[in-house]
Amino acid sequence: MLDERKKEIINILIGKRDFITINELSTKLSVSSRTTRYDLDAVDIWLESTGFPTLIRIPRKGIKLDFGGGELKEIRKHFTSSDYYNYVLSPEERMNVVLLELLKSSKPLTLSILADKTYVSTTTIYNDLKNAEEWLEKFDIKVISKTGYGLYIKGKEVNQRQAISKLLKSLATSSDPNTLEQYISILKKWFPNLDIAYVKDTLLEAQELLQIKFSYEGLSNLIFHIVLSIERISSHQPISMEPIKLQEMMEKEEYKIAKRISTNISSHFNIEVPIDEMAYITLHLIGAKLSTVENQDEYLQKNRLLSSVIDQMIIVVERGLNLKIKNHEQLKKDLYIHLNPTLNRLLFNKTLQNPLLDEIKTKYKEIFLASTKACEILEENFNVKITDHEIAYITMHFGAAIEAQYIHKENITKVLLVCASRIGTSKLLSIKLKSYFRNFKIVDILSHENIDNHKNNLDFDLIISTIPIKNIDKPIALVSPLLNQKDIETLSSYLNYKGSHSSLNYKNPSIVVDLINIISEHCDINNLPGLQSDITGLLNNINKFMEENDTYLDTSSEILPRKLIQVNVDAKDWKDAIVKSSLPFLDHEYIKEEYVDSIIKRIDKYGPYMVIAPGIAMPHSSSEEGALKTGLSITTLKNPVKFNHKTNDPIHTIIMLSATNNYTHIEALTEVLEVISEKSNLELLKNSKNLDTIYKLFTKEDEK
Amino acid sequence: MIKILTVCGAGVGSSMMLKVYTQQIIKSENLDATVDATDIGSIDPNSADIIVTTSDFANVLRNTTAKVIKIDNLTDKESLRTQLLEAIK
Repeated sequence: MLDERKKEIINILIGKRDFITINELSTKLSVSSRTTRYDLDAVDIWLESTGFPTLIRIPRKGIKLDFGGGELKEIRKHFTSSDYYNYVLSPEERMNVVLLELLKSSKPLTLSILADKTYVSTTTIYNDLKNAEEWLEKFDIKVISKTGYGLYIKGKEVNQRQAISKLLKSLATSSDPNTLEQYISILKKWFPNLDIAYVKDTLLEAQELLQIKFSYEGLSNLIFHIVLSIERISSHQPISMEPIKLQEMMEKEEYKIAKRISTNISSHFNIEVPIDEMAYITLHLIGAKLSTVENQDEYLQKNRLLSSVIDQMIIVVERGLNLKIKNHEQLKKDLYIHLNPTLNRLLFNKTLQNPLLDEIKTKYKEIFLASTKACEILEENFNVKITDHEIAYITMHFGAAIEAQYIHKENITKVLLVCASRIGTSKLLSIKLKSYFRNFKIVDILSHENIDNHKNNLDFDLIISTIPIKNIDKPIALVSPLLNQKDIETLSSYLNYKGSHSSLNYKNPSIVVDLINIISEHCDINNLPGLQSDITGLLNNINKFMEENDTYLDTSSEILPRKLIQVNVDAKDWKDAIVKSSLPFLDHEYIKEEYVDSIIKRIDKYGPYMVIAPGIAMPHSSSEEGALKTGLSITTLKNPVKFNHKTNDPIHTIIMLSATNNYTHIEALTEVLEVISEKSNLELLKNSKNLDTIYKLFTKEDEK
Repeated sequence: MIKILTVCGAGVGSSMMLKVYTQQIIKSENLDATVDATDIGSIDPNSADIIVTTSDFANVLRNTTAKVIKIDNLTDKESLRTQLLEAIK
């Protein structure tokens, strides 16, 4: 008798058609090679007893099954699904069989029928039933036993289908299907009489009608549930739904598709599909669709047009309100999930009534107007007419996103506006400021002369002034009366400092503002814009410097990465040595080709000055000549070459240097020179042909 | 205050190392001196009191009022120290 594993062996051998080693086999079967050997003996015995040619075994080559076409056909007969029961079932397998029989059957079963199916005694089955009952209880299904009648189960059809689904899924995991074809072939074993490919095609058609794409999981689930529906309808176990739920499903857009699917399958499978069953299919269609929303990135890809329309809509709203929406991604996802069904509603002329319409129109007047503008893009692209009610919903999405970042009370900046005496300019400036900075609250407008009298009576965070002011302990921003782009940036920098706004080029604007404040305390500033831009420039440079240092600060004990070391390199002269020692750098994009040429040119011009010690050359060029990354590489030569140096020839070790500035490489270079100034290390470099030895030489020993 | 320049071809390799070593010596010997690294193309030979470089460049820098220290072995700090102290004396 063959068990599953031995059948698997035969399958592997048939598929391979060539020799396979016992090790390969045991890996595939996830058992020891000893077990595999025993199995192979058993397979041999079985083959012999059933009249097939036995295995060919050749030492060191492996095992092969030498079958002709006729024999292949013959052996497949031994592998039919009924054969599944030909070997001794484990208690768990037995329970699954019992569960399946109970769930499948529309008639009562007797213990002896179940015992026959599982090849055990009725007593054993009686004990197994306890486990089965426990399992079914999770689905609110009871096993009823009536003397003289038999065993049957009682529970809602929906729950029974769930139980079947769960059971079959747990059975399938042993050979996890990766493709739809594999999944369908598994389904075929369970539902041998049904045309599953037809169900698949029907669903693919539905997919196109719905203009969506189910995920693999969604599609396979749908196939399964529809196949199960067909099976249950055929065995007179239809589903029933609560009237409310039924009504709800019938109103769904997907119901139309479900209906279409039902028409198809009823004619193909010659069954009557009741309305409840259609609603049930609708439920799964919606479910399949929603399940992929969990994978939002994929879902957002589905309707690329909508996705790009939303991007444009967000930009329109941002421009309309002159602000930046921080959490773009989240807003986009929310809008997408909202708009996808919205578009369906509009297409089916089923627009929603928004009970909050009036409130939204007054409370979020500006956002509503901006959203209306944004919706024009939607209308254009999808050829729909959007009602105010729907716009109000969209407004709520934008409003929520903006409110989350903006309209917090504590983020309001109280501004004192100071101008030269001309009232006209200050009004204009005030309007401009309000339009650019929504969270500015202008507490008062003062002329220069009045400021000393009023400044102590007013509560404000910031002074915006068109003329320089002294003796004030609050931040001051000097702007031009016409508020140019630079002024807007300066003010944005202040807001950034307050942590409530972000639309600025400066990396650390708060430092700029702070520094200007400090400087203004001690000096008279003649040219504030100039000072500001110079400080910004300086800080940006310092940042760059610090970033470079950060990338260099390598905490590992490795001075030189292994990939930048090569040993025993054959070079015929100094040029050849330089070209060959530049290979690791070129391979890992530390330098451009031109860097190497530049080194050679320099030596031609100035002589062998790059020879830095006896036997050691350190070829390098300047950062402008094609250095991409800072680093050091080491190449030891098989035969030393002459660089025509007075005292230090011949050269056996090339330390190539690439430096993008003149400080980041110093530490590593110092360390390398420290290593080679030890005489013993120098000897090692000169004589060792072993990469490991060299690598260890340039690894700090103090860090273990 | 003594002004020292270290010189090499590109201003990033040996001149930087010489600068680092010279600084170490200045510190350990408590000398009143500054040191800067530069490349042979941009050096003003008369802007320094002492120039530290390799022998190849020493020839280029013949017409200078500064004392020129030639270093042929960058790993030999002792030689640099001796010559530097000799030049300062």
